[in-house]
Amino acid sequence: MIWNGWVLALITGQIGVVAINATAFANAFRIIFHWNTSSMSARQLDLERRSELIATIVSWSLLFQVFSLVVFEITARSLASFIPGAMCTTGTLQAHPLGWPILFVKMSALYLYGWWTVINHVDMQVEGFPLTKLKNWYMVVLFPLLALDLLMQVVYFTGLDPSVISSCCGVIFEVGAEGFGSSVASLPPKGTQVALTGFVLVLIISSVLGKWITTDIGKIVYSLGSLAGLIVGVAGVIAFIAPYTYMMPALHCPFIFLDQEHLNYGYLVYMPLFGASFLGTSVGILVTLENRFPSLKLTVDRISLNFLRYSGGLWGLFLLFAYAPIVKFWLETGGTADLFRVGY
Amino acid sequence: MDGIGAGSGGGIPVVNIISVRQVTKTFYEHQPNEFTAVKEISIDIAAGGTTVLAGPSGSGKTTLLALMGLISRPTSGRISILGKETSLLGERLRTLFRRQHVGFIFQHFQLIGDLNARDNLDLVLYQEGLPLKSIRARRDQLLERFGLLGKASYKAAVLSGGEKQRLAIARSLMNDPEIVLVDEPTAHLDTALSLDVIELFRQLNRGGKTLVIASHDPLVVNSGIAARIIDLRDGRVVQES
Amino acid sequence: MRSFLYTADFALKRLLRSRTKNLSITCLFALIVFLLSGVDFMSGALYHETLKAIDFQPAIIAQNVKAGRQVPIDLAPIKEISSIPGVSSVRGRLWGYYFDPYTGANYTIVGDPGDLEASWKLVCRSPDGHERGQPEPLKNGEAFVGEGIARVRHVGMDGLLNFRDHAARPVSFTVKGFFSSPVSLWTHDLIVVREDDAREFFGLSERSAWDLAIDVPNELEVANVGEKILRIMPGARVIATSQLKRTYGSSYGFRSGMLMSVSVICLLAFLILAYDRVAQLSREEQREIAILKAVGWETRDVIRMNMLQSLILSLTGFLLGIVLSYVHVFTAGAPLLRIVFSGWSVLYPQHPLPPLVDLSRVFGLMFMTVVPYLAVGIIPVWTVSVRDPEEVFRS
Repeated sequence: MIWNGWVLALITGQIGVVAINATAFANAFRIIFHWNTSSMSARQLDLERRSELIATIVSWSLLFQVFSLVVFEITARSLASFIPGAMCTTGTLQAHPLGWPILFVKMSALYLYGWWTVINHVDMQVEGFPLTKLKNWYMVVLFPLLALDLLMQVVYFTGLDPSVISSCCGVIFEVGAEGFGSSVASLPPKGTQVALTGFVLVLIISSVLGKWITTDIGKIVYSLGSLAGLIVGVAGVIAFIAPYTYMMPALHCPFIFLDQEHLNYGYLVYMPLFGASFLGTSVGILVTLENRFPSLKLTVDRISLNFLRYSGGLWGLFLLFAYAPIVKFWLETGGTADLFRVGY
Repeated sequence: MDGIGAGSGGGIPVVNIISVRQVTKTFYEHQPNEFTAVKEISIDIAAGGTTVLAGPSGSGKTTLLALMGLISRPTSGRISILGKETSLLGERLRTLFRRQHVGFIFQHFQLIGDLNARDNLDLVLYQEGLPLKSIRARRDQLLERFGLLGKASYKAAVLSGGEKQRLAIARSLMNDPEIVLVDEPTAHLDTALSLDVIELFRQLNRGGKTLVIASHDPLVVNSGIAARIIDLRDGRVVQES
Repeated sequence: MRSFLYTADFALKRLLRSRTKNLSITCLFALIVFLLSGVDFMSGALYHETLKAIDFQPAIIAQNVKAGRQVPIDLAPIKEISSIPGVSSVRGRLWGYYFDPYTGANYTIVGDPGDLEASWKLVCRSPDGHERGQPEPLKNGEAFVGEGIARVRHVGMDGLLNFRDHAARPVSFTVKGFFSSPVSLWTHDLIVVREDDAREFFGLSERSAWDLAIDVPNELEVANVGEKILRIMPGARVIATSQLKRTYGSSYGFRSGMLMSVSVICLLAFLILAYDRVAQLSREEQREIAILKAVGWETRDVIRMNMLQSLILSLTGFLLGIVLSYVHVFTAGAPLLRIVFSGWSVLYPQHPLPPLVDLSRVFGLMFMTVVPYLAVGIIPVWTVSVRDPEEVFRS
């Protein structure tokens, strides 16, 4: 078992978050069973209040989950020096079968909590509480994920064995080698650049035209596009954004540039990426809601338009930060050299 | 539940701004100290006039006022204001509606003593998200109108009874409501101040506001300010005039 | 957006109204953050120092061990070891510890093979602090001394250090220079003398040294070379210094973990207090919330205001704690924490560690302090904000 101050910090914080969400979970059950919109009894009033509590808990948990994700990455990085073969976060994650799953669970938690907040926001704007039952079922399903997150982390950190050799990012994201990470790293850099840029530009343009794309299909397409954009974006990070940031064509690690050594630049790339894809996918969810609950139409239209606009702006920001290292490289080498041809 | 209906007495169609239908309010339900303050009351309040709810203390005036002001929810019955059925609205929408259309003056003023007069007024509009300039302009306008500009930076706790009353009235007007509900305005005032306050209410009425005043003070009841007087006793309407 | 700003402003003003109570909470919070971050800064900085020191070490150190303890090693196998492919150089090292009864400190006395400045990047200084670059080579009976020792023994240029050698015979060294190094841990207990002086001081024979330093430039070959050395010298202890990084890391991790556990208990106690602060409201405060709601604030707005209050308090306390801790560790030399970390050696006087602050680590500290504080406050805040104003007015 490997343990340091960071692991303690991470687990402590996570326990706090799980504890507070357990309350939300219990209350959600209560609401599911007794909610009656047309009642004026004291119980209904009480349930309305509890609904308020759940909303508060979830919105703050969203913030806490952001911390949780960031600190998990930092913790994994701090442990890398104790694990033979590991030189950065990738190695630590690789050292135990739960490593990568935990990362994905935490990332999904962000989106899931975010979507809940969006649904809640809509529910509050309209009379009649149409989305309350849905919200609370959602909460009931969400909480086990959070508890699972904590459990996985405990198992993971106690299970880390300093005598087991792990692989570092040079191996996991090696060009031409086998394995998922390597396949992504092996994507042709120019091709990926074009694909990513093209894709994101399409998204940006759609968001700008958003006022005129009022069809549901259009919005759902945008939403799915945002999801795909997230995946393509991460692939882009591995394929060419990271190498350009490090100025090292063979280094494809998606974590190192989060470090202070690189001025925490990675956050500037990831934050707009996550934000844009979150808002984009939310549009799809809003559209689905609107179809199921026609009374929401006006509110949802307004909100989805806003989301569309902000999402487009964030995609633009992402492109800006993704390409800044490349532009920097071009400026420094007089605009002619190609990083990847230099390397191999 | 109608927005338009006949007022008591005349055949002239009057717009009812508040409509109370078979409303009951019970406190501490299912507990040993349960009691019903308002029993199946139905009232229509016409727009633009002043109505006085008279009756001894404990007759349910305050509760009825709170129900009309959407501060409280009825145990049963329906209340509609400005044509909108409000009984089943969730807390959020009820508060929003109230913030936009109703001003309330409490029996014990309910000012925040630690804050100065300015802040007590400002905070009413914080959640509306208006620009700071408009909030300040409105606040200063009201302070001036009620002669409180000089005491603007004084803490509410150190103001005299009359000043507190005027501040409470000013606060109820910050959001420019159509309806102003007043609970026992003269309870803490001497005769001279009471008459001043009654005169203020007359002005408000002339300004187009609908007033409902709950009071058992004969000064108010007999002042002639009211177009209509509703007598309450033990939670029921006993007489109207 | 505007309503958020107004609410935040109101929250701040509200906090300032009960100044004493809130100030004490902020200070308590700052204290806990101070402890936790001090531990983090300290161990991080020391660890990095140690890493730097290890970087100067040879790839492999070979020691002779008898009955589980380290004993002098014979120099004979050097020739054979240097012929192992991958080995670039082998030399015997002469060094040892000296306990100074006058100060109760341990010094490290090193016999200089002639390349200390190059390999350890020692910089010679004259007493007034100026660099003297290449000093004259040491003669017998002379020593270069780390700045820390100079201070503790109150010895200046040409001063005398009077020690007793392995046979308790009095030996004197004349101080001919002071040095500092990028690795500050060293310069505070290091004394450099001529190799033959060191040999005599510690009583090591001509054909032995304390350990062997073996350089293996290619990291990947270290394991192989180590095995071969073991074959040449069975029973010897062969240490790959890259392993040392891990051991030190664990050791620092362990110590910092211990201190952290104590701090965490304090944090828990504090959280209970925090819960209490929010849950127990005076009548006046309850009335104020009821007024807000009666005047048009939603429950949501009141909750937001209360949470903002908690946020302002905890963030202020956090910043205060971090800044104080930074000053304490990096400017004042961390008098309070040093003892836990430096363990056996008392000799770490004004030991300014180079400032090492990783902003993202601060994030983790927030997760451990601010987040639980906010989480603990959510339910009491809600309980208080949700009350019906009428109910409050009646009572």
